[in-house]
Amino acid sequence: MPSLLSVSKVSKTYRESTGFLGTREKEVLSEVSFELESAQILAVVGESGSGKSTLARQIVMLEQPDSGEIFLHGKPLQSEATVHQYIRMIFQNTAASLNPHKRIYQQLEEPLINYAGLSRSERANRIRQSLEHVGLDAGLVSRYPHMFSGGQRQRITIARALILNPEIIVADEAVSALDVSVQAQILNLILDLKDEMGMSWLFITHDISVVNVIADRVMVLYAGKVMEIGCVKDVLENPLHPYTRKLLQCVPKMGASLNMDFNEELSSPDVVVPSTGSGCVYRNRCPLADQICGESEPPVISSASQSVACFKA
Amino acid sequence: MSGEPVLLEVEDLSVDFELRGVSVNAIQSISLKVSAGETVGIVGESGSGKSVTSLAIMGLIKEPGFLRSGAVRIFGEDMLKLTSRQRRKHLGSVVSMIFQEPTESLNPVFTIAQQIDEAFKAHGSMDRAQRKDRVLELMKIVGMPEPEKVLRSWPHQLSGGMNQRVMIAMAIACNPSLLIADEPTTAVDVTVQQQILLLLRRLQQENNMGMIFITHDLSVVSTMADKIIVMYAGQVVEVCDTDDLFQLALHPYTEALLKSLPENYSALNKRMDSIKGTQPAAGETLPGCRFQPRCNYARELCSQQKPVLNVIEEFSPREVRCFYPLVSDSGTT
Amino acid sequence: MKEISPSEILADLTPRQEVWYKLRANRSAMTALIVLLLLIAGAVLAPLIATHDPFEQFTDTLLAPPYPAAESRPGFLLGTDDLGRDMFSRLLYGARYSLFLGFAIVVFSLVSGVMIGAVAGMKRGLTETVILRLMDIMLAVPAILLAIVIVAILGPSLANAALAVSIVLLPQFVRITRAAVISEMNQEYVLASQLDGSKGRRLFFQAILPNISAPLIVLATLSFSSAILDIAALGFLGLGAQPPTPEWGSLLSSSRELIEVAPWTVTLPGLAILITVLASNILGDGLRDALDPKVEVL
Repeated sequence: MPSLLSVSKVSKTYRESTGFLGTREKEVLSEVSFELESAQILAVVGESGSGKSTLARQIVMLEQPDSGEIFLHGKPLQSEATVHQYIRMIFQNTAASLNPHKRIYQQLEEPLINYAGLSRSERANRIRQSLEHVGLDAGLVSRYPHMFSGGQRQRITIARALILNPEIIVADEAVSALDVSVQAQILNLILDLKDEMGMSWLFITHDISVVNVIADRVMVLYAGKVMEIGCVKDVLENPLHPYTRKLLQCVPKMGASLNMDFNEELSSPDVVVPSTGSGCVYRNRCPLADQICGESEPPVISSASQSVACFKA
Repeated sequence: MSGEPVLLEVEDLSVDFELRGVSVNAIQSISLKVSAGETVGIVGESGSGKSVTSLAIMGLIKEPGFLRSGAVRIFGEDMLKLTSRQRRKHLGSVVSMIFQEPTESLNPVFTIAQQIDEAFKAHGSMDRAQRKDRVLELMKIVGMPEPEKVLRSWPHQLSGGMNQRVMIAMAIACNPSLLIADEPTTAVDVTVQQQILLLLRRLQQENNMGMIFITHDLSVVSTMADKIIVMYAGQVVEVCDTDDLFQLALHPYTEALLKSLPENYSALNKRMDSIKGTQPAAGETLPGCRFQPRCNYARELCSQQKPVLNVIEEFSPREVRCFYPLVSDSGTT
Repeated sequence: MKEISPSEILADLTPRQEVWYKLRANRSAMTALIVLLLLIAGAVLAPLIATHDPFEQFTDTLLAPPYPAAESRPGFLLGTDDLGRDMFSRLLYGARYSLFLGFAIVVFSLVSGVMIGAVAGMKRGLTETVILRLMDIMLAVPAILLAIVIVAILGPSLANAALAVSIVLLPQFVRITRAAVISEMNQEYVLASQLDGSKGRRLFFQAILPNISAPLIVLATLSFSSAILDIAALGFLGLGAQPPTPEWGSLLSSSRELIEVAPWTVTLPGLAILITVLASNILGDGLRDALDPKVEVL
């Protein structure tokens, strides 16, 4: 039986203009592949420049990949209408993803009007159910977004995502802008939805500590390429890729003090600067890199539950 | 930190906002002390009043906000009693501040070199050549790669991490005694965060600088601060040395906050501990303790009277604003 | 983790309520609003308030000065013109022409401008370029000149003058709409709407229009005064309202030579135009401040 979502060697390049009549190509995603099953949460971890948001855009059909394919239930993504109903998305900036000049009711109603073909009272029912599902009082529907707190707004966007009964929700940094206590509530909600409705999530985040809480599997992206992918337990306890190890080491741990070599840390570039030419993209920041890493693409070494793209794994 | 001079002493600071004829209280009776070489962390969620506190310390509260009471003493002199001009003169060379969004805090139409130069012109009396040397020196201190190239660039051409380093360079340009960092690493990636934190730590050690580190991130503050002040709904609810706080939190809010951190997630119950309800908005007045509606340990007294900040002798130096601080592990007192 | 700002603390107002609240705090804008409302009331109630028929000539009270001059005639509050017609009544009825025309012109330019601008902003590419260049050409010609040319082609009449002015005011609306639409298309909530299945017309009316109304309302208010001035100018040149229509611009024109002998026949219509234009401009400025979410007037 095919996976719920199957992404196969997806690549995407953006053309940017560099001054007068010049254009430069930037490969934002390069041969990204992964599978997502039902009732499964896959965390996509990466820093800015890793391509994670671009990946989200390909999956919800906002853009088309330049090469590679995406399959939903074994069939390639073709109709926007299907994708809009089966794969919904929530964003980081809750204030920005809700229209400031429209009442919550209207914003929740919109997907229903476009796709659900229900009568007015049926729509009202669905809206009420959706809000209750995310723990919000249905009497709040006539309000405007700015009247809610960040956590409440995120619940509203989740309600909007749920309202078409999708199978997959893509969450692009959904809890990053929330306070810790609110974040915990939203994470619990996501887990509840997975258990109760069998919903799958593609959870994009830069915060690796959240991955442990919420995800079944995790994929680490760097400069548009998959560095490592596997079960959360395996990847977090036994990271095989140097970049994964670096990410884990950077997370401040409570009670531990900073004890890194300052000069060594500062000298590495702080943005994702893909190494040019052939070879592994990470090699210009990798402590283990040597000549072989510059010669060709690193091989993908897989075990039952974990895959890594590295010469040194 | 005994023996070190006290740089900043905030005493009983309260700020109100006047909105539509109604006085809304933003922060209430905030007190804190920072000595040279010491980092004081202020931790709180959004709406707790931590940013208002830092602005009040810098004398940056404007209409419709105004200071209701309190003193802000820098090297013993009360800043709030000075005129804004006197305060600017005094503060500029003694206290510096860095903010959350470095790219937005920099002027987009000036190059980095021009902006750092501005910082010098305002406070120094060096000539052009001296300024240029100092600027390069600062770039080196903050570990900026390719300093010449960076100086010629505009903010939008640099990454968030590099812009934050520029902000830090500007902040330490005049050798301040106290640095206030308001969420300096919230907007950057975790690898960059580590670099920024290391840089701040090193600068502090080299210059014996005092630092106030404001953040919502408990893990970050635990690696940076010597002492932590926990704020909730405009009040200080717990003051404690860092190590002690993470061993045992005495205020129910602090305890709940620690439990709701992802790193304290236990796979056994499969759900995170979260705090029910939401923080009261500024101006929302409650008859009793401001945390009481959300507190797992609340009793009758808590909804009737307002607790004050008390020193807990057995755990000194520790202050808690609670009638029933969690002094024993069993959770009941 | 943005700290809550004061206006968020008391955020219990709907967007419309907040705008009205801010506007109310602006005294000059409120004064201007009241003046305009009075003018509109006067125009609407003209048949009831006017003391005389504006076209009736009272041949024995030619060029009577306004009250309280020595030679004023009872009943003719603001005097009469060279054909013995009551100035007050003519001005009142003139208000009907000016205000109604101003309104109609703005509505026409607004609606067509927004539609064209929306197409330009959403379609981009060649369509956008063609539309923009067309608007640039129209803007390159001085407004009055363009209006004169259009009226000359269509023939002098009030209706044609109104059409000409509408066309002249169109490019501004197109440009502002297009810019606002482009900026909106980058917003996350528009993206969310698209993912909800809205596109084209639905996307524009549901997601974009509510958010671009601010600059459009301001432009509409300011265009109102432009429209009145342009109609008056055309009337003054004899290309708009034809006598005996008491449109304010034509009143100015037909009384030009009397400025020394009977100044009130010229100054009063001029004053009427001035007050209307001033009031609508001040109101427009006030609305701009009230509609700007970043301006906090608490």
